[in-house]
Amino acid sequence: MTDRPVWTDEAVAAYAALHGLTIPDAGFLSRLRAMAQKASDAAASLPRDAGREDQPAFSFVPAPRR
Amino acid sequence: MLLGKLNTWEYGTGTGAVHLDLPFPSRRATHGGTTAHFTGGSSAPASGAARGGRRRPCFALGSDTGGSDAAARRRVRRAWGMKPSFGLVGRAGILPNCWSLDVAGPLARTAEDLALILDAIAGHDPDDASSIAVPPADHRASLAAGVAGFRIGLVRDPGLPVGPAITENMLHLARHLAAQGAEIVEFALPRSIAAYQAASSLINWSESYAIHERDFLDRNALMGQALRDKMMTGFGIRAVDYLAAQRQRRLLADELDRAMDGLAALLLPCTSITAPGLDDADAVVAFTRQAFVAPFNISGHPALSLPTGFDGDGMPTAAQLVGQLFAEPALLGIAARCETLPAPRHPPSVTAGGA
Repeated sequence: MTDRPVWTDEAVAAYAALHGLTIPDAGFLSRLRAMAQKASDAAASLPRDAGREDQPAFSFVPAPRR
Repeated sequence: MLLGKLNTWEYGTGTGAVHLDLPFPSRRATHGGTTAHFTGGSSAPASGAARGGRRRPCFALGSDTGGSDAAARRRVRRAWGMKPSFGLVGRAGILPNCWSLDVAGPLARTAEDLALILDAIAGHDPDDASSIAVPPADHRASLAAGVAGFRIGLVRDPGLPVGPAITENMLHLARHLAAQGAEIVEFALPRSIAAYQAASSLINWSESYAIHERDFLDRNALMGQALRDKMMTGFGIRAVDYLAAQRQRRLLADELDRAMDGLAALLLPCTSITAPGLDDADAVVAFTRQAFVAPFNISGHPALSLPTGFDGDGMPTAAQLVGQLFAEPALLGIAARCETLPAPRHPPSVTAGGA
Protein backbone atom coordinates (compact mmCIF):
# COMPACT_ATOMS: atom_id res chain seq x y z
CA MET A 1 0.00 0.00 0.00
CA THR A 2 1.00 3.60 -0.45
CA ASP A 3 -0.23 6.84 1.03
CA ARG A 4 -3.54 7.80 -0.52
CA PRO A 5 -3.49 11.37 -1.77
CA VAL A 6 -6.55 13.39 -0.85
CA TRP A 7 -7.24 15.86 -3.59
CA THR A 8 -8.45 19.35 -2.73
CA ASP A 9 -9.68 21.92 -5.22
CA GLU A 10 -6.49 23.88 -4.65
CA ALA A 11 -4.29 20.83 -5.21
CA VAL A 12 -6.14 19.87 -8.38
CA ALA A 13 -5.96 23.41 -9.74
CA ALA A 14 -2.23 23.61 -9.01
CA TYR A 15 -1.59 20.21 -10.59
CA ALA A 16 -3.58 21.18 -13.68
CA ALA A 17 -1.69 24.46 -14.04
CA LEU A 18 1.61 22.64 -13.69
CA HIS A 19 0.69 20.19 -16.43
CA GLY A 20 -0.84 22.60 -18.93
CA LEU A 21 -4.54 21.99 -18.39
CA THR A 22 -6.86 25.00 -18.43
CA ILE A 23 -9.75 24.87 -15.98
CA PRO A 24 -12.69 26.58 -17.71
CA ASP A 25 -15.15 26.62 -14.82
CA ALA A 26 -15.94 25.33 -11.36
CA GLY A 27 -17.85 22.36 -12.70
CA PHE A 28 -14.82 21.17 -14.64
CA LEU A 29 -12.63 21.53 -11.54
CA SER A 30 -15.10 19.60 -9.42
CA ARG A 31 -15.28 16.78 -11.93
CA LEU A 32 -11.50 16.69 -12.31
CA ARG A 33 -11.13 16.46 -8.56
CA ALA A 34 -13.63 13.59 -8.36
CA MET A 35 -11.87 11.66 -11.13
CA ALA A 36 -8.45 12.27 -9.59
CA GLN A 37 -9.73 10.91 -6.29
CA LYS A 38 -11.19 7.87 -8.06
CA ALA A 39 -7.80 7.10 -9.58
CA SER A 40 -5.97 7.62 -6.30
CA ASP A 41 -8.39 5.35 -4.46
CA ALA A 42 -7.92 2.61 -7.04
CA ALA A 43 -4.17 3.00 -6.86
CA ALA A 44 -4.22 2.79 -3.08
CA SER A 45 -5.97 -0.58 -3.29
CA LEU A 46 -3.08 -2.11 -5.23
CA PRO A 47 -0.63 -4.16 -3.22
CA ARG A 48 2.97 -3.01 -3.47
CA ASP A 49 5.19 -5.99 -4.14
CA ALA A 50 7.88 -6.67 -1.62
CA GLY A 51 10.54 -7.81 -4.05
CA ARG A 52 12.43 -5.09 -5.88
CA GLU A 53 13.23 -7.55 -8.63
CA ASP A 54 9.54 -7.99 -9.56
CA GLN A 55 9.28 -6.37 -12.97
CA PRO A 56 6.19 -4.80 -14.50
CA ALA A 57 4.20 -7.00 -16.85
CA PHE A 58 4.77 -4.75 -19.81
CA SER A 59 8.53 -4.67 -20.22
CA PHE A 60 10.51 -3.73 -23.27
CA VAL A 61 11.73 -6.67 -25.33
CA PRO A 62 14.11 -5.83 -28.19
CA ALA A 63 13.34 -7.40 -31.53
CA PRO A 64 15.93 -8.47 -34.08
CA ARG A 65 16.39 -6.19 -37.07
CA ARG A 66 13.93 -6.93 -39.88
CA MET B 1 -10.35 -3.75 -49.30
CA LEU B 2 -12.83 -1.95 -47.10
CA LEU B 3 -15.77 -4.27 -46.49
CA GLY B 4 -17.69 -1.89 -44.28
CA LYS B 5 -17.20 0.20 -41.18
CA LEU B 6 -19.24 0.83 -38.09
CA ASN B 7 -19.84 3.62 -35.66
CA THR B 8 -18.43 3.40 -32.15
CA TRP B 9 -17.77 5.53 -29.09
CA GLU B 10 -15.26 8.38 -29.22
CA TYR B 11 -11.86 6.75 -29.58
CA GLY B 12 -13.68 3.50 -28.85
CA THR B 13 -13.58 4.09 -25.13
CA GLY B 14 -15.35 5.60 -22.15
CA THR B 15 -16.30 4.84 -18.58
CA GLY B 16 -19.25 2.51 -19.04
CA ALA B 17 -21.75 5.33 -18.47
CA VAL B 18 -24.02 6.47 -21.29
CA HIS B 19 -24.57 10.22 -21.68
CA LEU B 20 -25.81 10.61 -25.30
CA ASP B 21 -24.27 14.09 -25.31
CA LEU B 22 -22.34 14.13 -28.56
CA PRO B 23 -23.28 16.83 -31.08
CA PHE B 24 -24.36 14.53 -33.87
CA PRO B 25 -27.30 12.21 -34.29
CA SER B 26 -26.76 8.60 -33.34
CA ARG B 27 -28.99 5.73 -34.19
CA ARG B 28 -29.27 3.39 -31.28
CA ALA B 29 -28.72 -0.27 -31.82
CA THR B 30 -31.66 -2.48 -31.14
CA HIS B 31 -31.51 -5.14 -28.49
CA GLY B 32 -34.06 -7.84 -28.12
CA GLY B 33 -36.27 -5.96 -30.56
CA THR B 34 -36.18 -2.64 -28.74
CA THR B 35 -33.89 0.36 -28.42
CA ALA B 36 -34.72 0.79 -24.76
CA HIS B 37 -31.93 -1.41 -23.41
CA PHE B 38 -28.22 -0.88 -23.12
CA THR B 39 -26.43 -2.71 -25.91
CA GLY B 40 -22.95 -2.56 -24.41
CA GLY B 41 -19.91 -0.44 -24.98
CA SER B 42 -17.79 0.45 -27.93
CA SER B 43 -18.14 -2.90 -29.65
CA ALA B 44 -21.93 -2.93 -29.55
CA PRO B 45 -22.18 -1.88 -33.21
CA ALA B 46 -19.78 -4.64 -34.23
CA SER B 47 -21.64 -7.29 -32.28
CA GLY B 48 -24.91 -5.99 -33.65
CA ALA B 49 -23.63 -6.22 -37.19
CA ALA B 50 -22.35 -9.74 -36.69
CA ARG B 51 -25.41 -11.17 -34.99
CA GLY B 52 -27.01 -12.04 -38.28
CA GLY B 53 -30.10 -11.14 -40.16
CA ARG B 54 -30.97 -10.03 -43.64
CA ARG B 55 -28.38 -7.84 -45.33
CA ARG B 56 -25.99 -8.17 -42.41
CA PRO B 57 -22.41 -9.37 -42.61
CA CYS B 58 -21.50 -12.74 -41.16
CA PHE B 59 -18.67 -11.34 -39.07
CA ALA B 60 -17.12 -8.18 -37.70
CA LEU B 61 -13.82 -7.31 -36.08
CA GLY B 62 -13.52 -5.56 -32.75
CA SER B 63 -10.99 -4.84 -30.06
CA ASP B 64 -11.18 -5.70 -26.42
CA THR B 65 -9.41 -3.79 -23.65
CA GLY B 66 -11.05 -4.33 -20.29
CA GLY B 67 -13.55 -2.85 -17.92
CA SER B 68 -16.07 -0.63 -19.59
CA ASP B 69 -15.65 -1.41 -23.24
CA ALA B 70 -13.96 -4.78 -23.29
CA ALA B 71 -16.89 -6.89 -22.36
CA ALA B 72 -19.56 -5.38 -24.50
CA ARG B 73 -19.14 -7.68 -27.41
CA ARG B 74 -19.08 -10.69 -25.18
CA ARG B 75 -22.30 -10.41 -23.35
CA VAL B 76 -25.11 -8.48 -24.90
CA ARG B 77 -25.83 -9.59 -28.39
CA ARG B 78 -26.58 -13.01 -29.66
CA ALA B 79 -23.28 -12.87 -31.46
CA TRP B 80 -20.27 -14.95 -30.58
CA GLY B 81 -17.23 -12.92 -29.64
CA MET B 82 -13.64 -13.99 -29.27
CA LYS B 83 -10.74 -12.30 -27.55
CA PRO B 84 -7.69 -14.26 -28.69
CA SER B 85 -4.55 -14.61 -26.57
CA PHE B 86 -2.77 -11.30 -26.12
CA GLY B 87 -0.26 -10.98 -28.95
CA LEU B 88 -1.80 -13.56 -31.30
CA VAL B 89 -3.46 -11.04 -33.63
CA GLY B 90 -1.53 -8.01 -34.86
CA ARG B 91 -2.93 -4.59 -34.08
CA ALA B 92 -1.04 -2.38 -36.50
CA GLY B 93 -3.47 0.11 -38.00
CA ILE B 94 -5.97 -0.09 -35.14
CA LEU B 95 -6.44 3.09 -33.10
CA PRO B 96 -4.98 2.11 -29.72
CA ASN B 97 -6.97 2.42 -26.54
CA CYS B 98 -4.46 0.79 -24.19
CA TRP B 99 -1.30 -0.73 -25.63
CA SER B 100 -0.78 -3.41 -23.02
CA LEU B 101 -4.39 -4.63 -22.89
CA ASP B 102 -5.85 -4.14 -26.38
CA VAL B 103 -6.65 -7.36 -28.24
CA ALA B 104 -8.24 -7.58 -31.67
CA GLY B 105 -10.61 -10.40 -32.44
CA PRO B 106 -13.61 -11.60 -34.41
CA LEU B 107 -17.34 -11.49 -33.74
CA ALA B 108 -19.50 -13.87 -35.68
CA ARG B 109 -22.58 -16.05 -35.57
CA THR B 110 -20.92 -19.42 -35.20
CA ALA B 111 -17.78 -21.04 -33.85
CA GLU B 112 -16.86 -22.02 -37.37
CA ASP B 113 -16.99 -18.42 -38.55
CA LEU B 114 -14.81 -17.40 -35.61
CA ALA B 115 -12.31 -20.08 -36.60
CA LEU B 116 -12.29 -19.02 -40.23
CA ILE B 117 -11.67 -15.38 -39.35
CA LEU B 118 -9.02 -16.28 -36.79
CA ASP B 119 -7.25 -18.39 -39.40
CA ALA B 120 -7.10 -15.27 -41.54
CA ILE B 121 -5.99 -12.71 -38.95
CA ALA B 122 -3.75 -14.63 -36.52
CA GLY B 123 -0.02 -14.50 -36.98
CA HIS B 124 3.02 -12.43 -36.18
CA ASP B 125 2.70 -8.73 -37.00
CA PRO B 126 6.11 -7.07 -37.30
CA ASP B 127 4.46 -3.66 -37.01
CA ASP B 128 2.96 -4.45 -33.61
CA ALA B 129 5.58 -4.41 -30.85
CA SER B 130 3.42 -6.73 -28.72
CA SER B 131 2.83 -9.30 -31.43
CA ILE B 132 4.08 -12.76 -30.53
CA ALA B 133 5.34 -15.27 -33.07
CA VAL B 134 3.72 -18.62 -32.34
CA PRO B 135 3.47 -21.59 -34.68
CA PRO B 136 0.43 -21.21 -36.94
CA ALA B 137 -2.62 -23.27 -36.03
CA ASP B 138 -5.48 -24.60 -38.11
CA HIS B 139 -8.38 -23.30 -36.08
CA ARG B 140 -11.06 -24.63 -38.38
CA ALA B 141 -9.67 -28.14 -38.22
CA SER B 142 -10.08 -28.11 -34.45
CA LEU B 143 -13.82 -27.74 -34.60
CA ALA B 144 -14.54 -31.44 -34.91
CA ALA B 145 -12.28 -32.48 -32.03
CA GLY B 146 -15.06 -32.75 -29.45
CA VAL B 147 -14.72 -32.42 -25.70
CA ALA B 148 -14.35 -36.01 -24.54
CA GLY B 149 -11.73 -36.16 -21.83
CA PHE B 150 -11.44 -32.40 -21.46
CA ARG B 151 -11.45 -31.02 -17.93
CA ILE B 152 -13.44 -27.80 -17.76
CA GLY B 153 -13.36 -25.61 -14.69
CA LEU B 154 -16.81 -24.33 -13.77
CA VAL B 155 -16.79 -21.03 -11.90
CA ARG B 156 -20.09 -21.27 -10.12
CA ASP B 157 -19.35 -18.34 -7.82
CA PRO B 158 -17.33 -15.64 -9.59
CA GLY B 159 -17.37 -13.38 -6.55
CA LEU B 160 -20.43 -11.22 -7.13
CA PRO B 161 -24.13 -12.09 -7.10
CA VAL B 162 -25.19 -13.36 -10.52
CA GLY B 163 -28.68 -13.24 -11.98
CA PRO B 164 -30.46 -16.60 -11.65
CA ALA B 165 -31.15 -17.00 -15.37
CA ILE B 166 -27.49 -16.36 -16.22
CA THR B 167 -26.39 -19.03 -13.76
CA GLU B 168 -29.13 -21.47 -14.72
CA ASN B 169 -28.35 -21.22 -18.42
CA MET B 170 -24.62 -21.59 -17.77
CA LEU B 171 -25.21 -24.72 -15.70
CA HIS B 172 -27.41 -26.04 -18.50
CA LEU B 173 -24.46 -25.58 -20.82
CA ALA B 174 -22.11 -27.30 -18.36
CA ARG B 175 -24.41 -30.31 -18.22
CA HIS B 176 -24.51 -30.35 -22.00
CA LEU B 177 -20.71 -30.48 -22.18
CA ALA B 178 -20.59 -33.16 -19.51
CA ALA B 179 -23.04 -35.26 -21.51
CA GLN B 180 -20.56 -35.15 -24.38
CA GLY B 181 -17.71 -36.47 -22.31
CA ALA B 182 -16.19 -33.41 -20.66
CA GLU B 183 -15.24 -33.60 -17.02
CA ILE B 184 -16.69 -30.59 -15.21
CA VAL B 185 -14.80 -29.58 -12.08
CA GLU B 186 -15.41 -26.72 -9.69
CA PHE B 187 -13.00 -23.81 -10.06
CA ALA B 188 -12.52 -20.69 -7.95
CA LEU B 189 -10.76 -17.61 -9.25
CA PRO B 190 -7.62 -17.05 -7.17
CA ARG B 191 -8.51 -13.44 -6.35
CA SER B 192 -11.55 -11.23 -6.15
CA ILE B 193 -12.83 -9.56 -9.29
CA ALA B 194 -11.96 -6.22 -7.65
CA ALA B 195 -8.28 -7.16 -7.54
CA TYR B 196 -8.19 -7.73 -11.29
CA GLN B 197 -10.29 -4.65 -11.99
CA ALA B 198 -8.04 -2.36 -9.92
CA ALA B 199 -4.96 -3.33 -11.90
CA SER B 200 -6.83 -3.27 -15.21
CA SER B 201 -8.35 0.14 -14.55
CA LEU B 202 -5.08 1.81 -13.55
CA ILE B 203 -3.35 0.47 -16.63
CA ASN B 204 -6.25 1.38 -18.91
CA TRP B 205 -6.70 4.93 -17.57
CA SER B 206 -2.97 5.64 -17.67
CA GLU B 207 -2.24 4.37 -21.15
CA SER B 208 -5.41 5.80 -22.65
CA TYR B 209 -4.50 9.20 -21.24
CA ALA B 210 -0.98 8.90 -22.61
CA ILE B 211 -2.43 8.15 -26.05
CA HIS B 212 -4.87 11.08 -26.05
CA GLU B 213 -3.08 13.62 -23.83
CA ARG B 214 -2.72 16.26 -26.52
CA ASP B 215 -6.40 16.10 -27.44
CA PHE B 216 -7.42 16.33 -23.79
CA LEU B 217 -5.25 19.34 -23.08
CA ASP B 218 -6.22 21.18 -26.25
CA ARG B 219 -9.78 20.12 -27.06
CA ASN B 220 -11.47 18.56 -24.05
CA ALA B 221 -14.52 20.78 -24.53
CA LEU B 222 -15.26 18.86 -27.72
CA MET B 223 -15.27 15.52 -25.92
CA GLY B 224 -18.35 13.80 -24.59
CA GLN B 225 -18.52 13.32 -20.86
CA ALA B 226 -17.61 9.63 -20.91
CA LEU B 227 -14.34 10.22 -22.76
CA ARG B 228 -13.56 13.40 -20.82
CA ASP B 229 -14.14 11.59 -17.51
CA LYS B 230 -11.75 8.86 -18.55
CA MET B 231 -9.12 11.39 -19.56
CA MET B 232 -9.57 13.21 -16.27
CA THR B 233 -9.05 9.96 -14.40
CA GLY B 234 -5.82 9.25 -16.23
CA PHE B 235 -4.58 12.84 -15.87
CA GLY B 236 -3.56 12.53 -12.22
CA ILE B 237 -2.20 8.99 -12.03
CA ARG B 238 1.34 8.79 -10.71
CA ALA B 239 3.99 6.77 -12.50
CA VAL B 240 4.54 4.66 -9.40
CA ASP B 241 0.85 3.71 -9.37
CA TYR B 242 0.87 2.69 -13.02
CA LEU B 243 3.94 0.57 -12.43
CA ALA B 244 2.39 -0.96 -9.32
CA ALA B 245 -0.54 -2.01 -11.49
CA GLN B 246 1.76 -3.53 -14.09
CA ARG B 247 3.77 -5.37 -11.43
CA GLN B 248 0.56 -6.63 -9.89
CA ARG B 249 -0.63 -7.69 -13.32
CA ARG B 250 2.30 -10.04 -13.74
CA LEU B 251 1.60 -11.66 -10.39
CA LEU B 252 -2.13 -11.98 -11.06
CA ALA B 253 -1.56 -13.42 -14.52
CA ASP B 254 1.00 -15.96 -13.35
CA GLU B 255 -1.20 -17.02 -10.46
CA LEU B 256 -4.27 -17.47 -12.66
CA ASP B 257 -2.32 -19.38 -15.28
CA ARG B 258 -0.97 -21.76 -12.64
CA ALA B 259 -4.47 -22.26 -11.22
CA MET B 260 -5.70 -23.27 -14.68
CA ASP B 261 -3.06 -25.96 -15.03
CA GLY B 262 -4.61 -29.21 -16.26
CA LEU B 263 -7.81 -27.60 -17.47
CA ALA B 264 -8.82 -27.26 -21.09
CA ALA B 265 -11.01 -24.28 -20.31
CA LEU B 266 -12.96 -22.34 -17.73
CA LEU B 267 -16.69 -21.75 -17.96
CA LEU B 268 -18.13 -18.73 -16.17
CA PRO B 269 -20.63 -15.92 -16.65
CA CYS B 270 -19.75 -12.78 -18.61
CA THR B 271 -21.82 -10.41 -16.53
CA SER B 272 -23.73 -10.46 -13.29
CA ILE B 273 -26.95 -9.07 -14.80
CA THR B 274 -28.61 -9.05 -18.20
CA ALA B 275 -28.87 -5.87 -20.25
CA PRO B 276 -30.50 -3.10 -18.23
CA GLY B 277 -32.80 -0.37 -19.49
CA LEU B 278 -31.06 2.74 -20.75
CA ASP B 279 -33.14 4.81 -18.35
CA ASP B 280 -31.43 3.17 -15.36
CA ALA B 281 -28.05 4.91 -15.30
CA ASP B 282 -26.79 3.07 -12.23
CA ALA B 283 -27.66 -0.31 -13.72
CA VAL B 284 -25.91 0.58 -16.97
CA VAL B 285 -22.70 1.27 -15.08
CA ALA B 286 -23.21 -1.81 -12.92
CA PHE B 287 -23.70 -3.92 -16.02
CA THR B 288 -20.27 -2.83 -17.20
CA ARG B 289 -18.42 -2.84 -13.91
CA GLN B 290 -19.91 -5.98 -12.36
CA ALA B 291 -18.60 -8.23 -15.06
CA PHE B 292 -16.18 -11.14 -14.97
CA VAL B 293 -13.89 -10.36 -17.86
CA ALA B 294 -11.09 -8.40 -16.17
CA PRO B 295 -9.13 -11.48 -15.00
CA PHE B 296 -8.56 -12.54 -18.59
CA ASN B 297 -7.83 -9.09 -19.93
CA ILE B 298 -5.15 -8.95 -17.24
CA SER B 299 -3.85 -12.47 -17.87
CA GLY B 300 -4.06 -12.44 -21.67
CA HIS B 301 -5.85 -15.79 -21.84
CA PRO B 302 -8.15 -16.30 -24.82
CA ALA B 303 -11.82 -15.85 -23.95
CA LEU B 304 -14.88 -16.57 -26.01
CA SER B 305 -18.44 -15.56 -25.29
CA LEU B 306 -21.43 -17.45 -26.43
CA PRO B 307 -25.16 -17.05 -26.06
CA THR B 308 -26.80 -19.43 -23.59
CA GLY B 309 -30.44 -18.41 -23.78
CA PHE B 310 -32.65 -15.71 -22.31
CA ASP B 311 -33.96 -14.54 -18.99
CA GLY B 312 -37.59 -14.15 -18.08
CA ASP B 313 -37.75 -10.71 -19.66
CA GLY B 314 -36.37 -11.92 -22.97
CA MET B 315 -32.91 -10.47 -22.45
CA PRO B 316 -30.09 -12.69 -23.72
CA THR B 317 -27.77 -14.43 -21.32
CA ALA B 318 -24.19 -15.37 -22.10
CA ALA B 319 -21.33 -17.39 -20.73
CA GLN B 320 -17.65 -17.22 -21.44
CA LEU B 321 -15.18 -19.95 -22.14
CA VAL B 322 -11.57 -19.19 -21.28
CA GLY B 323 -8.78 -21.27 -22.76
CA GLN B 324 -5.13 -21.86 -22.10
CA LEU B 325 -2.75 -19.30 -23.56
CA PHE B 326 -2.38 -19.76 -27.33
CA ALA B 327 -4.67 -22.79 -27.22
CA GLU B 328 -7.38 -21.25 -29.39
CA PRO B 329 -7.94 -24.48 -31.36
CA ALA B 330 -9.02 -26.35 -28.21
CA LEU B 331 -11.17 -23.43 -27.15
CA LEU B 332 -12.93 -23.31 -30.50
CA GLY B 333 -13.41 -27.07 -30.41
CA ILE B 334 -15.26 -26.74 -27.12
CA ALA B 335 -17.24 -23.81 -28.49
CA ALA B 336 -18.33 -25.88 -31.44
CA ARG B 337 -19.80 -28.47 -29.09
CA CYS B 338 -21.65 -25.70 -27.27
CA GLU B 339 -23.42 -24.90 -30.52
CA THR B 340 -25.36 -28.12 -30.19
CA LEU B 341 -26.84 -26.87 -26.91
CA PRO B 342 -30.60 -27.35 -26.99
CA ALA B 343 -31.43 -23.84 -25.82
CA PRO B 344 -33.95 -21.30 -27.00
CA ARG B 345 -32.51 -19.38 -29.90
CA HIS B 346 -35.01 -16.55 -29.72
CA PRO B 347 -36.44 -14.58 -26.80
CA PRO B 348 -39.82 -15.80 -25.61
CA SER B 349 -41.51 -12.47 -26.30
CA VAL B 350 -40.30 -8.93 -26.29
CA THR B 351 -42.45 -5.88 -26.65
CA ALA B 352 -41.06 -3.67 -29.36
CA GLY B 353 -40.41 -0.17 -28.16
CA GLY B 354 -38.16 2.72 -28.84
CA ALA B 355 -36.50 5.73 -27.41
